[in-house]
Amino acid sequence: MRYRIAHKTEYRYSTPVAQSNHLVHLTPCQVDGQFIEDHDLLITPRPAHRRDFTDYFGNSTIHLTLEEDHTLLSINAVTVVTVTRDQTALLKQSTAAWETVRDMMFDRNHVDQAEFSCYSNFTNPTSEIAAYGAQSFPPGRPLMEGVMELTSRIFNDFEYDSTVTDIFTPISQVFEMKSGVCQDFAHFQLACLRALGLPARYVSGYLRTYPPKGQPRLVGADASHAWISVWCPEAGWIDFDPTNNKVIAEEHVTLSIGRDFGDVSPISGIILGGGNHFVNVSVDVMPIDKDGNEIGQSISSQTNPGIVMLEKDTLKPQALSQRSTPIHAQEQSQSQSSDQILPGDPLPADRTY
Amino acid sequence: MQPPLADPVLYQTLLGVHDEMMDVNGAIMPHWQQWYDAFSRWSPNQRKANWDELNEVVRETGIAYDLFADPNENKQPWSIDLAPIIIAPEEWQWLSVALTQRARLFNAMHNDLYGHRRLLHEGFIPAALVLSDPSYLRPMRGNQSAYNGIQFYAADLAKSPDGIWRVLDNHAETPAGLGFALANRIAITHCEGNLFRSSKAIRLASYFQQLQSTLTKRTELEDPYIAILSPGPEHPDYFSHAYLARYLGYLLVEGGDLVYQNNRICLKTLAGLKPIDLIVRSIEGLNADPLELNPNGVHGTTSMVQAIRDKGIIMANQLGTSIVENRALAPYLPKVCKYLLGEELMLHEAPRWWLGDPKSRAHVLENLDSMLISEAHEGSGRPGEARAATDPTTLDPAGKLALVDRIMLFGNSMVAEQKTGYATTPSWTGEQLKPHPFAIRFYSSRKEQGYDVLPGGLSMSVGAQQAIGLHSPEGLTRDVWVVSDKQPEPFESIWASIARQGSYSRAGRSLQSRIADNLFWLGRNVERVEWQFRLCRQALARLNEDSGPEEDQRTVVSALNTLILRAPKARVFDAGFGGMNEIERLVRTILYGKDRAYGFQESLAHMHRLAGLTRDRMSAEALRILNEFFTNQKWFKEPGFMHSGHVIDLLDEGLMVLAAFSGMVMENMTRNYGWRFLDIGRRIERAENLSGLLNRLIFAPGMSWDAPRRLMFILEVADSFITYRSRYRITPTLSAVIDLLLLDETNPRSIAFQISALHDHINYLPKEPEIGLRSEENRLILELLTELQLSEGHKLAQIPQLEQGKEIEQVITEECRLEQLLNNQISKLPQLTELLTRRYFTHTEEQTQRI
Repeated sequence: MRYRIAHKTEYRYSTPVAQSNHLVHLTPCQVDGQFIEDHDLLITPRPAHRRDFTDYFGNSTIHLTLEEDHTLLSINAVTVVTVTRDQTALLKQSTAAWETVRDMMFDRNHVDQAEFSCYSNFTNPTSEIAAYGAQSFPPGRPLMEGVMELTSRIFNDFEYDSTVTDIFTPISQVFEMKSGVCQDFAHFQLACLRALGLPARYVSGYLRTYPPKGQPRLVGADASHAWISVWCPEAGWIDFDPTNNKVIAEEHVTLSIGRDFGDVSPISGIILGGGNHFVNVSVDVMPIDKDGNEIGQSISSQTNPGIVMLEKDTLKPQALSQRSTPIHAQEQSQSQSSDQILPGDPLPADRTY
Repeated sequence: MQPPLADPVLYQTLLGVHDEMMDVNGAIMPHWQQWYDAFSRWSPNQRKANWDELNEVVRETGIAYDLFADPNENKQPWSIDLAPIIIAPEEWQWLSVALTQRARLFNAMHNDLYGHRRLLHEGFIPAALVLSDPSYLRPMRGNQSAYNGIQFYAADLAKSPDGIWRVLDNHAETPAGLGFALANRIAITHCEGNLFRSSKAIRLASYFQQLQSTLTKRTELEDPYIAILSPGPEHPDYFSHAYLARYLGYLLVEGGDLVYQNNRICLKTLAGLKPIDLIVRSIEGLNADPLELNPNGVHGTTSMVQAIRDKGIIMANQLGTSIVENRALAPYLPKVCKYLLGEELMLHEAPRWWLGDPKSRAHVLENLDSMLISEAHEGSGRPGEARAATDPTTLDPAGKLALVDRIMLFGNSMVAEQKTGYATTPSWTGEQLKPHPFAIRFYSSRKEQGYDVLPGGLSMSVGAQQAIGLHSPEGLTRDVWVVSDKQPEPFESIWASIARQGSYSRAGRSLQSRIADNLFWLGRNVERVEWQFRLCRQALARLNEDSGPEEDQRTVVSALNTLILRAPKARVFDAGFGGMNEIERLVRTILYGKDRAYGFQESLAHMHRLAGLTRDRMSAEALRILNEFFTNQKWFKEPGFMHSGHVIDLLDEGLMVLAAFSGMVMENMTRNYGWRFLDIGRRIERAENLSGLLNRLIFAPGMSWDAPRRLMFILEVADSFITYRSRYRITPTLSAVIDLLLLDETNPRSIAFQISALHDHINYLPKEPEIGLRSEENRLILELLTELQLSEGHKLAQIPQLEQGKEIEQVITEECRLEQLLNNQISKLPQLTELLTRRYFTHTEEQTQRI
């Protein structure tokens, strides 16, 4: 299947931003069964400094610095991609027992996989989460069988609800509420697998959506998506989507790969000034034919579904790292009222749903 | 010759435990001989005197000066043992080779882990051990160059009871308290300098010279801009950072001082952004860049990683070096050493097991009670503050189960160590020498080829073995002397070598906005305290005269109320009490009132905080002088019964301290921007105080304006009485007082003098080049100065008289040039503060947010 994907992000600030630095992960990576034909990234205002590089995990990454006062930042990514893959076939090839794969992580030939058997900030398990995951892995069971079952259990046990969590909701809470969005499910499943010592990674990307029967597709109403990928010796990395209870095929487009959301956040940034800010994200996954024409019909959406207004004082500083030292506010900020944001206080940007 | 036996009353070792000073036969080791002989000859009184002196130096230099420490926390303050630990030449030779080897090993290991990772791919180190450690900073991989890894490496060493050295912890993240070692040495040679020399112990200076020249070479510049990046005064090691910065002549900066621009890390200074060439990192790498590393880490600056990526800054140590501190690496080191260096590892840790490895885990679980369980990586570089490990024998069955659960789930980041004891060294208890378990932190620093080891170190007493790392709840430290068998090198100060190289520190050329802000307020608060003291002192002195007319008391009450009234929402003490009682009450309020704006206690707290925040900008002596206020109880404690004579003595003493500080600042501080801001603060404060007092005492209703005794009081508070008498030789008249205190630019206590000094300072401050016109603050100060310069004393003194039948209010509203002039000063000076704050200080307060 061939797609034209438009991923638009707009930040509006109530007061001018004097300087901003961003890290952008919006360029899809080349993986098996996915061919990037064209990719374009448009940034306004023009960055004072732009550096393209490949990050630790092999993702195309851009570092941006804006140094002119601005109240609007827009980043538009357009990608034309052809996806020809169906990983359900790979499943059959994989027969290794999960313990075998776990033990392989200790041998020197699997350093790159062992990386993903370790916990990360968003995937630290609790004993309860570990126990939940372990139910799908009785001794000797083939790894992929267990992963498939775990995917189904998460799909059945958890409720999709975009209102109960945000980027920083810990998975222990997701597990308690048994609800969340794709990112939460992916993190949760990663924690289950890693608690067993199994290699599993976080995948961010896009998902083709279908309009209700007989209705045209709504342009810009899609969202970023996230799922996981598990390694087996026979077939390499196989992707599972716990939100939709399936192994990925031509409907999924991979954007970037990491240990968790923190490694692949599409746009993150630190700004100086800016007051309150508003983020508007729209994603459009348009199936196209070989001439570039849309397959099926669509209408442009009237509403802006992606607008999120962030009130600064509703967010509390989060401790993301186990070893982070407590933030000491500078003396000046000690006297400030509590609705002032602390330096480094994270505000969620665009979420994946 | 038989070595002399020690006096058994003075020192006895523990049975079967190796001791540093005394062998099993009770003989003093030769390299301790000099010290021991001298020490045993000291009378008990001398020992006590020396010990007291040593602790006095510790207190005064502020080593133990934990600025923001919670006073309720019952922690032992930093103290230095009267007995150093002395290392023999042969042992040092071996140790320095062994430590150098470890430094080279850890650097090579670091470079590999951030490069090709052959250690993982060849199976020398389990991948999950390294990759599960949050201090492995992935964005740093591939950003390394061979010369770019570990500049500073330190190891905590202890001796087992059998006398064999072993490693407790490795430090490759920051200089790990190097400043403490330096400060300890300076403190102890202050008290035992002769002993130090006669013991032929080696000096530290050449190590630091080597360090300076290495860092300069690394920048490939002749005159590089080098800064020490500290987390700031709230950090318990801030003293060490500041001390080192001052000793090496480098700038001490904090994250808030830095900004990324044009791929460089720049310092925000009064004169704009200045790119930094090399940063000596004293912050955790993880917290160096909220964009690419820990999102909550604000000790560095946004895009630090990007600057390193494109070689816009040199970082020493590089970000991410702390990965090699992981304690679970220990069991793999012998093979890694052989692989990377082709050498046998000389120094070992006690037996350890990484709990992520299934076999090791099984072994540990079987022998749990002989183990100490700890985090594989805790990252505390603070000397002595390693966290206590879990001793399974101290746990109840439920606790043990929970521990096993934790090991099963989080084994990757945990380590077990076999319990091992400690050898001892003599420690002075105040009455006798006692054997005490010890550990030493040894420091090394990279040079062009290999590493240099500091011939000394920081030794700490360790408690019962509760930790895998250096855990020292007592805060008892001692200096480490390395004895040389060679001729001592000629003494060379660190400063001499800088001059010879023809390079110099740039520290004086630019000033961080943050420091300017702090110096400004330090200046204000020091002056404010002086004013409080003078006012209270003269008030009490007047009362002591006892013969003064009643009007004196009213004058004094009025004057004291100028201070009381400056506090927001202050109440004027009603005159009902009258006389002595009221004055005593006002003086008490000013000196001891809690949380009272413009009161002494508040100013003292500000002075304390600001002196701490600017301590790397002031001479050590200047701070030692001020330390009197912070460490002596008498400045905080309100006396129950106030004997005015005693209070006057106390205030006189305080004024002497302040005078010493001011003298030190005048004589010893370079006339750079820092000095200017300190002085601007002082001048504004003095001008405000004096115009407030003049205004109140001359125009207070109900008093005749020219009462000579009142004018005399003003002259005394303004410390100008002697000048007045010698110049005018007449009973004070208003016009002469105005001339001396308001208009005379040569009297350092006059308002005109302050304004004229401010005018000079403000002209000298850096300006934005595009502004051709006078800046707002220039115009303001020029207006104030001109007004004073054009005034004439005798005209100002013509004040509308209170005539028969005229209401007081009427008189006051009548045109009065003097009152206008004073009011203008009183209202414009705060505006000046506001303008300076906005132009020079505020951009440091800009808030960043993450999106």
